[in-house]
Amino acid sequence: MTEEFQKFSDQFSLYVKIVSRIEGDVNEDQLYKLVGRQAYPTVLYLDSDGELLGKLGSTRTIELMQRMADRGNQISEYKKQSKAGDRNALIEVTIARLEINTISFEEASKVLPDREDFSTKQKERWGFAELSNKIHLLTRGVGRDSESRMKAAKGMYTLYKEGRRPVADTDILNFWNYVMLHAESIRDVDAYELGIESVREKYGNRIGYWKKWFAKHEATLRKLKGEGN
Amino acid sequence: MKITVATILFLVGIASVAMAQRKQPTQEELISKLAAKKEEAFLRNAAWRYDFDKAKEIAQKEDKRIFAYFTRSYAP
Repeated sequence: MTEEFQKFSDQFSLYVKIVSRIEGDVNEDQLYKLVGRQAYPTVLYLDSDGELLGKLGSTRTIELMQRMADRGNQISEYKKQSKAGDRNALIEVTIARLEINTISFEEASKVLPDREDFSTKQKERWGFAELSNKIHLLTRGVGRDSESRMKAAKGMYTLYKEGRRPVADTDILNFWNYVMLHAESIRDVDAYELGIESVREKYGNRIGYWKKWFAKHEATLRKLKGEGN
Repeated sequence: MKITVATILFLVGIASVAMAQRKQPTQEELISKLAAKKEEAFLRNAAWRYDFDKAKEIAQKEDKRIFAYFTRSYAP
């Protein structure tokens, strides 16, 4: 990987921040300021102004790094073009910023109050970003107490009944966990079962934590169906 | 019963103090860990910059983007 990475990395300006906890170390919260959390290691792609263009997931291969860079380069180009007055580029860069959470949905709506000229694909992406924002707002600040969790669950179930379905990796499990929580409380077997199948579609081939997740929820589904343990 | 509860609480208290006093790494150890981290092949064999402003300056001058790697040395 290292030799391969050396060749691959020539196209970038490389920056590394090693958090050391040595007294006097600066910028220890730099990662938090960029993405709102501290998890190491993390790989980010930034433009020359330091704006976030992309984030690598937990699988770090050259192919995925290049994909992150290609998408980031496209966003960067749109950013330049939008500054020159290109309307489509403004739409693209705003939706991209929504998708990587560098702006809020409220901020994006102010940048693009009029969305009649969106392409079909742009409208779809905007819809998903709006849903992602609603999911985020419903679960923000939810504690371990039953009351706040059930309140979030009811809100999420309402989105489910409206036919909304998330596509972002970060939203799928969150959405369905809460939908299923409410579905269980009102004995909506169909919603509960759909939740399990939707999560299985995404994570069904995983092991470890997921085996326990599926076992737990399948047992609950059997109970809801009156099939016992 | 009261004596048993008091004993349990006392033992829990002792365990908490012991855990709190668990050895924290010294500054020297943290400096040594940082040096070891910088020697890892992944960091040694590519042109990493440790100064963000410098990385931005190079990116602007050479029309490049920044590939930023955030990691830690104080723990695995």
